[in-house]
Amino acid sequence: MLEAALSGLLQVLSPMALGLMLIGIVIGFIVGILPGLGGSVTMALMLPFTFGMEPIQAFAFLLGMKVVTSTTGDITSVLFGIPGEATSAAVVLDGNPMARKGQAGRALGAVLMSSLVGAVIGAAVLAASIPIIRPIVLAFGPPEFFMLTVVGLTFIASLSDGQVIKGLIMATFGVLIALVGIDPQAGVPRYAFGQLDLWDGLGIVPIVIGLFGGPELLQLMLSKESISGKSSASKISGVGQGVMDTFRHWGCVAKAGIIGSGIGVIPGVGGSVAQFIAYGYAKQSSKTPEEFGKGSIEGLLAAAGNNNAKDAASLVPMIAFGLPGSVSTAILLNAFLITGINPGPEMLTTHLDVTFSMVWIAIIANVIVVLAALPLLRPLSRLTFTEGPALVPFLLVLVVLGAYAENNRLLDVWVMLGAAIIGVACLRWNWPRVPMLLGLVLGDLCERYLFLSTSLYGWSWVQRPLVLLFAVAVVAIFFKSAWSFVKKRRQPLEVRV
Amino acid sequence: MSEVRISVRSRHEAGDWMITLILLGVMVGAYVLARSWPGNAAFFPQLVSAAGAVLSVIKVGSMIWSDFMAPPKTVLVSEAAPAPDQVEDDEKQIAIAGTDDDDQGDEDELHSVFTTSGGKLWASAIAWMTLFFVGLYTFGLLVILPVFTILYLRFVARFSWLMCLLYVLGTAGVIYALFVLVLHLPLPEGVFPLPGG
Repeated sequence: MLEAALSGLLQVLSPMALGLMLIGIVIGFIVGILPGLGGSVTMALMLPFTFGMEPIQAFAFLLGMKVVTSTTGDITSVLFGIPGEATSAAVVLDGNPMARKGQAGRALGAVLMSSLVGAVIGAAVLAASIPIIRPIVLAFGPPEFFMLTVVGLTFIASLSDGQVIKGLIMATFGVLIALVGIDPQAGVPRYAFGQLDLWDGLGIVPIVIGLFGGPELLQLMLSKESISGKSSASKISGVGQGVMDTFRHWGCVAKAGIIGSGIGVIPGVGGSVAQFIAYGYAKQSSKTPEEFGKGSIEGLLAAAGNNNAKDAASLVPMIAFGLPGSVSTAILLNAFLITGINPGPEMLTTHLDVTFSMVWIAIIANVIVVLAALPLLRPLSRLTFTEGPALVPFLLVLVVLGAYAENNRLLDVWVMLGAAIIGVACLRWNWPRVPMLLGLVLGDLCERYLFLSTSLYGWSWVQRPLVLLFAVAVVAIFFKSAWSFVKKRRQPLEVRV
Repeated sequence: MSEVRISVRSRHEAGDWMITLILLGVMVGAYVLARSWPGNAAFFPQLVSAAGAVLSVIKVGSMIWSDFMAPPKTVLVSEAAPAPDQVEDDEKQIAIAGTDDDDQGDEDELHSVFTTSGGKLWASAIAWMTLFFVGLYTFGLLVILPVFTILYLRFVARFSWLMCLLYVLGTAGVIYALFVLVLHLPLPEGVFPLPGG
């Protein structure tokens, strides 16, 4: 195995593979910063260029591009509150408040370094799981996937900022939005109101951008101040502090990375779920949960740290079984076929060096992007001190293109606008936005796996060992939230004016 | 520092009532619509919308209780706080920590901008947004982007004409080069797109 690992590394470091990886990183960096134009779209566009490449060269190009988009997608989340990717939504929650406090440099430093640490954790999981992956993946069926979505939904209480009923109502609203479109079981259009465009459902990306980016934009138009408001421009640095924060809160980053890897390994659940489970768990286990959502460094590290870990670990089912767990891994699967490699047992025997090369690509690409991005963070942070009106046209274009680019349809722009109105109303009247997003992300998965579980096993699936284990986790999370709520209510009343 | 006990009754804002009632309506509507679908397709939406409707009714009930029926709460006010009559008059500014009143959450910066901005500012922001999105629908991004950018930067940001022009060339140029020339991706077109576009 060591030989294969070394061989994989040497092939990745060959001039051609390294050169192609650098090209992929540059493309991924630019595309990742633009909201909506995610890694999957770019990978699909670049796929034809892999014809004629050697397998490791093709993966260096595509995978290098993919891992970078995840990292740079967090940059707009921090600076402007506009998520570069759907999987960067949780980064907005604490990253943008930090930018508004004039700590954009610190937030960006923390995001970059925790992404790198997360990528290393994910790559380690990928490498370590090679000999044992088959029984792990096979242990997960629809009932376990369903319970995993229930675990995610359990975090609604802790992500509602103490407004549990409002949070639950918003979560059910999010689930209903997720149900728009053709029903996968009976083929009936649901909540489509006769509109063909709605048969495909409503995209997550336009809603995420509208919900978080829309209010930011309006706030700039109303206040006419910079994003960081009246914060001192002397705080523009702090990149080093952010980098150090990653190691100061290493436990938080490690837990987020492990959660991201764990969910990444399971095909079909996705990073949008992983980020909120990691964030919710970090909040529950933090000594200062009240700071979450107001610029907590722990919240930011948890949100950013899980993303790249999930990306690396999501390669596991594709390599071992040819099972793509997401759109981007499905495109990568095409690259396998183009370069003449069959995913499956061969990847763990004959082509073990190719498998290890992916581990190295995930690590090296992230190291390169961190080194390349660090000098850019200071000028990027300065954008948060630019006068608000000067940023408005630029940000307006970003949110419109971000909503439009995924499916190239104008409907998504109107969906984004609707979500922005909801986001503004939520902020104006103190309704939590995150539970709605959680419901939106989990609603579809929850229904699908519940239906599959009952169709395949009746109700006997509730007795499966992993299902019971998840049920225990759900009960534990529920009681922990309830206990925090009771403790908070016992505090004496005081008036703050 | 001396402390005094005062009675306060928190009232929900009209917007809060509106959101709750709209969501209740959405939940009931979703449930009614789902009744016409086959069993498999209807089960989950009915389950979720019924749960949402019940929660919304609970919320409405708690709002009625706290606004009209519950006895006023007695709270301790420190010397630095305003006089009791002031507190009664300006309930929006009071945040009661540790109560079950979930509407007195922490005011963050965005919340305060939305609550404190005057009608003129709101009207201006909505007018600019309307101009952009109506223009986008009518003429497409490549037309409305330069028009909106120049007008907004000139009249709101007070940029010079030269700066406006450079800004437009920067944003529209980069977007056109990246999307159209490099990636060959379409940009949003309006119902009256550019001639030859």
